[in-house]
Amino acid sequence: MIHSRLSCGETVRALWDYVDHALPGPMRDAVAAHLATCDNCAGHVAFAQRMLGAIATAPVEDQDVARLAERVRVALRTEAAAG
Amino acid sequence: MTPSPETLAAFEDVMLRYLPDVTRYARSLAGPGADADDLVQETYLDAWRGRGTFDASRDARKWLFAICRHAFIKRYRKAHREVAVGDTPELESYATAVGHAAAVRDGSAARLDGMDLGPAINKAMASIPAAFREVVALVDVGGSDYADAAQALGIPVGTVRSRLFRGRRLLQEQLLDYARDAGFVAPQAQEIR
Ligand SMILES: [Zn+2]
Repeated sequence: MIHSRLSCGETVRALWDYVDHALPGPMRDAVAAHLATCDNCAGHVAFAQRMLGAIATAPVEDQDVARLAERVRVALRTEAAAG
Repeated sequence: MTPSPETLAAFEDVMLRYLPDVTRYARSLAGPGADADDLVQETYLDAWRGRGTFDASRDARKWLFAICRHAFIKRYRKAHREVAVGDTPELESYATAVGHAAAVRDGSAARLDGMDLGPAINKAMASIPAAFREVVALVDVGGSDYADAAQALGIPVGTVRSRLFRGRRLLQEQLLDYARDAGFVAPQAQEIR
């Protein structure tokens, strides 16, 4: 099994595919096995996952939301009135 | 027939709950500036016009995201020069880890541990090239998978992976720079074998 023991280099080449759940099963298992025993690679993956979490939940200022809500309501009212 | 005020109020009541999410998505797709605000408005207008197709048992947020994505690609996506990334997603992954390894060594990664990444992410997203940002937007903000993003943008899946991974690497670099600006020394390159 070529995937049975990955080096750190092989593991981090698969970093983003691993994080995205895009690896085929055997490779995914091999990466997971490496991460279970390698703090360095596990740290890279943990930071990558944390960053993706931050991208997905990046803050939008309340004042921007309020301003856009008003703008959207006006536009919708105009559109609804037009039938 | 003009819709009743109650119809509009009910629509707003459900759909405007997702305004912060739609705004985040529109900004990540269209980049900083007035286009993103226009895209938010158009998303809601398109949603209103298409309200008959919305099934209340479905996820309104996903429905709005699909409308936003469609409006972006039809009307806002700028024709950007093809970026030379090459099909090197594995090397982008590798480079991401090398960058993080350097940041672990110089202490900047630890510096980020207790920090809220949100504001830095917003700045970083605004600064990366559109060709990378739009793929990050589709996958990491919008929740598309590689194949969905490829179909939406009319590019091969391999190109999606290259651009996505490059975009993420650039974002990570900016986050680590942000931590370094707070007083840490320049990184040393580190090989990973
Ligand atoms: Zn390792």
